[in-house]
Amino acid sequence: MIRPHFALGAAPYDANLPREIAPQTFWLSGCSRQPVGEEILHSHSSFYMACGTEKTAIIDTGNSRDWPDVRRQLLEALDGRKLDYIIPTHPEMPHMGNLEPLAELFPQARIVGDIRNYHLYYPHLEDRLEMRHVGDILELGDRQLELIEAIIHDLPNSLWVYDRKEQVLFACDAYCYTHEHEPGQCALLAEELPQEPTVADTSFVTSRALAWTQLVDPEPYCQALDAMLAERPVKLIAPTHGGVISNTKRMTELFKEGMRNIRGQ
Amino acid sequence: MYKVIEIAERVSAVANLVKIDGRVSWVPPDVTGFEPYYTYLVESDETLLVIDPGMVVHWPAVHAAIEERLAGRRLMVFNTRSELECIASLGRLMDSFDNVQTITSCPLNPFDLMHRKQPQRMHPPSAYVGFGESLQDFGFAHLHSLRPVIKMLGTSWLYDSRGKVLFSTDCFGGDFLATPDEPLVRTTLEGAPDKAQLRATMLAKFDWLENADTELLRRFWDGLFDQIDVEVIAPTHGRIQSGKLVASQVLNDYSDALLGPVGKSAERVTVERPDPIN
Ligand SMILES: [Fe+2]
Ligand SMILES: [Fe+2]
Ligand SMILES: [Fe+2]
Repeated sequence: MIRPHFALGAAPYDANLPREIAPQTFWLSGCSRQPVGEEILHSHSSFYMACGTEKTAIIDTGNSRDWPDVRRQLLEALDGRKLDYIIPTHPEMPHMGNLEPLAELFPQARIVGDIRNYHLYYPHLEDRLEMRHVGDILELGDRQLELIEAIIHDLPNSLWVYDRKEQVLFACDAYCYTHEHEPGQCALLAEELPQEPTVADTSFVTSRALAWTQLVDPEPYCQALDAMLAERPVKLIAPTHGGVISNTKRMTELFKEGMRNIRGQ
Repeated sequence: MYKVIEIAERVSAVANLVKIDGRVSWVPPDVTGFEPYYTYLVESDETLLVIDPGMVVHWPAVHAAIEERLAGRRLMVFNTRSELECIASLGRLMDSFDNVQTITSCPLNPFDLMHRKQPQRMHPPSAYVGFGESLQDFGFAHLHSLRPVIKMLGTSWLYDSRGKVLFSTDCFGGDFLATPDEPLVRTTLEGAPDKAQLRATMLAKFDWLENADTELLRRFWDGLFDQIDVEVIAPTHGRIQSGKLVASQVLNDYSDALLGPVGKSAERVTVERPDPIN
């Protein structure tokens, strides 16, 4: 018998998004609801906007299925400015699934990052692509975005982004966690949720989204993360599949503990 | 120019070549030449099944091949992964035909992964097939979805038990063409890539393999390959490997390259296969 596949569909309108999480730094998101047993698990497909005095940039694009509300959130956050840079952290639908409609909506926007393969995915966007590497800086005027190694990633052409001015780490697939909560709470920081995310919440998402974590020793990854954080002060961590984190030290410990717990599951 | 080549009974590959120029992440940096990309077509009297419509750069070729072969039959699409290599053209495909049945073993529904410009085109809901299950409800009882031994994101392999074809998606694509006129299908081991290249190609995609628990992986590997006979290895990109001897030697070479050779004293661990294909 043919079994219909569960479709998440578009995330509903969320009046709390976009949310300004630091000056001229916006959190945009679609939060999917998926039944897992008796529970409804929420899972973010977030992306972020950083606006400088000269240029504007988004880090990731939101998920293709969420385009209607993603479009609304983007236009609201831009508040009449044009979008200059699209920085997909890696070529996976929750991270760059809106590249085609974005390129159409903002015909002057450049697509920058580790853009290997993108000319094959979307050959009509080839002249919009700009290859960047770890260590490169994107100047937005009064703020700089540093492209850094994606220490925990799936696809190898992944990059993280560090905002030197507001000290935000855009960590794409790291620091993810599910959240269970009432409607209207999707745009809460990890620390504002009625219940703080647990080690199990981060293990759950990481082991499923990054299946390789079930087969490796997590210590080299945890050490690399510590080394990167030792060099960069981080006030906020902005992941794709979890809420924004302001208690960065505590959540880093929690996330590393989650990584360590995966192999024991 | 694309080519359609038969690789097994009622199984063909729409093949396109891309010159290797360092702009593709899954090709190791020192490799030169040409890389073939495939969309596979499996046919029955009633249905044309497309395995992975592929990237937009190849969509005109894939579209033309489907138009040419469809001949009034039902169109179905199976995506082995939710990655752009496999599904970047899916929205275009759904905009070009009516009543397309999408099928997958990936956790994400294909309708959640595409932009469509022709919403008036009507399609049935996507169907889910679990690992170990066949596509018999769609008229392809000889096609089985397999849990992949090595994967990055949501992925399934497909196995055609009639033609003994393993559709290995992003695995086993480490054989490239030096010139565009070289054959797309390897039928002899002469000139086959060495194990270092096979390893480098796999690590270009699965960089975590460098730190992986190979003992556990070997269990998964043996658990699968002890149960299926492979005579054709059909990846999404890289040369197709054909013939019983070629396929088995190539799989052994990959196993050595990734998991290390099985020493005399090494115990072969038999694990109960969680997803039997029959
Ligand atoms: Fe990812
Ligand atoms: Fe992700
Ligand atoms: Fe939510």
